[in-house]
Amino acid sequence: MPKTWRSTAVIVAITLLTFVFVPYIYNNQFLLFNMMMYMALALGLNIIYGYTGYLPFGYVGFFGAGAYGGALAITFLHWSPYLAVIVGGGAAVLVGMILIPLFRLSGAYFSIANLAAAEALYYIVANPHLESITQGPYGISLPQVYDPNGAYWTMLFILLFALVLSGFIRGSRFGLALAAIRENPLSASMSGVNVVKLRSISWLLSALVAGLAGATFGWYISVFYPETVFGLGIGVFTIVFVLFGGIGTVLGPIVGTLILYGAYNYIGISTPQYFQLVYGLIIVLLVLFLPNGLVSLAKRRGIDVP
Amino acid sequence: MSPEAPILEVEGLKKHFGGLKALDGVSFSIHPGEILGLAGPNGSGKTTCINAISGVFRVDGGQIRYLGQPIQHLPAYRRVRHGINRTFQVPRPFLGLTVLENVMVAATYRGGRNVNPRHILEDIGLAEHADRPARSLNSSQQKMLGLARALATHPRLLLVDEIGAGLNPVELSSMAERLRSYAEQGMALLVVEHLMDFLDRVTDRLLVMDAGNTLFSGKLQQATEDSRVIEAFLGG
Ligand SMILES: Nc1ncnc2c1ncn2[C@@H]1O[C@H](COP(=O)(O)OP(=O)(O)OP(=O)(O)O)[C@@H](O)[C@H]1O
Ligand SMILES: [Mg+2]
Repeated sequence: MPKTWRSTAVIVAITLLTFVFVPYIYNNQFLLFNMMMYMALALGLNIIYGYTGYLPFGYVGFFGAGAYGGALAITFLHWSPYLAVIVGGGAAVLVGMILIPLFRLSGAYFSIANLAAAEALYYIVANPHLESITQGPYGISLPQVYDPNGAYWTMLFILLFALVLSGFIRGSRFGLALAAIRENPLSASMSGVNVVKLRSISWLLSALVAGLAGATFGWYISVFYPETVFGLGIGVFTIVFVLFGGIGTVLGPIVGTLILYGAYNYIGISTPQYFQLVYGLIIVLLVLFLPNGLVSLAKRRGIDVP
Repeated sequence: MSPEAPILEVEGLKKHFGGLKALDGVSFSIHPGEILGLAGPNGSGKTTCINAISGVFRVDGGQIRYLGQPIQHLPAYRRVRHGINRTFQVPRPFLGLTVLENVMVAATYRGGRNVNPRHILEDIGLAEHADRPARSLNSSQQKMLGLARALATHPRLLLVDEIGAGLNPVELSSMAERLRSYAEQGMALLVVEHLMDFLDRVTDRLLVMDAGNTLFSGKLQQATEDSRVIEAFLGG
């Protein structure tokens, strides 16, 4: 068994115990829920960005698609929220499939086209003409399934799923091929790697994680608007957390989210007037001094980070 | 298939980039165990020829037959799994991966039976660097790594793009010997090279290209006396 898989099992165990027991001593459930959500999103983004090198600026589009997909299943099909979460994941995968042609673009063009796609999806959902389906700009309300505890445990499950998935990929031959694609797609195909197929699989897995998280978020808050779940801030937060922790690893996105999301909340509550300033400063310092994230500190000392 | 059947037949190959005809109807064939040298001035289309056969892009005309079957519609990774591979004129290693991992990718995804990447590194002389990142290799080591990656897929047809450039005389002669030994084991090789005396040590069959066309095809000794070839090299 690859070492990465064993380390991942340890990370899974610690994460599970943390989010099961911390609620007993810390009663801000919404913050813990958001922490798990961002950890899952960071891991999901890492599957496409960290493992294959494509950075989707519009990653939040999958989150929004999941939130609306789940909400529609609850509203129109009267499905249980657990099933609706799966529908949300499916909706995001569907959007991901539609966007596969974006991979013809490289680098920044891919990132920007993806951002445009997420914005387009937002305007479609928020369009008043679709009020009979999406409620347009007036938002979704799901009082019939309101159950923060159920949503909390579901999000924990999704986080663990994202962790196991990330760890499995990293230690497998699939992960090795993704790394090859990230380093040099042409040489990867000259090594027999089906670049188009493997890149698409990792893209859809990445979309799936965001969709599941989006649907669960919608369920948790039960009242939301298009801008709540398609807000670019969610995507920016996720990207910064992944970068801060260190891309391409299992631990990086988790640690990055834990520290930065924790710090933001601390600053936001204690000195909200400095929030934007500190937020910006952290990003600048990160780009200047730690472009490969926190885990690179350990790697530089020869420590193998899972 | 009879032993005389060529492994690769290229017929009337065409490729243009905008208005530039990089390949304008090139034809040749290679048999198993044979080395074909390919020379020509800068920009004459040698690398484009390798790119076309290895599937980097689709050609605009002509046929590429491998083991008798047309392959010009197959994606590159499928051609690799059928036994075609190549090196790059400018090495393209997976810089962030270790030397061993570089070879492991090819050994894992080539399809068919497993290949031990460490054996290949030993053969190519990179075993002691196995755990170093490819980024830390010098350029001739990166060239060797590119060859190791190609070999890890067990090619039956190997396309070599100016592997001699930048090697010192000792490295050059061992490289010539190495390529000949691959041919002796039955591999077919297309060896693109500027250095004529390197080609001379590798093969006596030569193709000379100029501006996308075949300028000369025959024995290497005759080429050096051919006025068109001399003109292309001195004038180009
Ligand atoms: N992808 C491409 N896009 C546009 N033009 C190209 C492309 N690849 C090659 N060319 C052009 O096609 C012509 C042939 O290039 P090619 O690289 O095949 O030459 P070459 O014989 O390998 O030269 P050299 O000896 O310098 O390596 C050149 O004019 C080159 O600029
Ligand atoms: Mg060339």
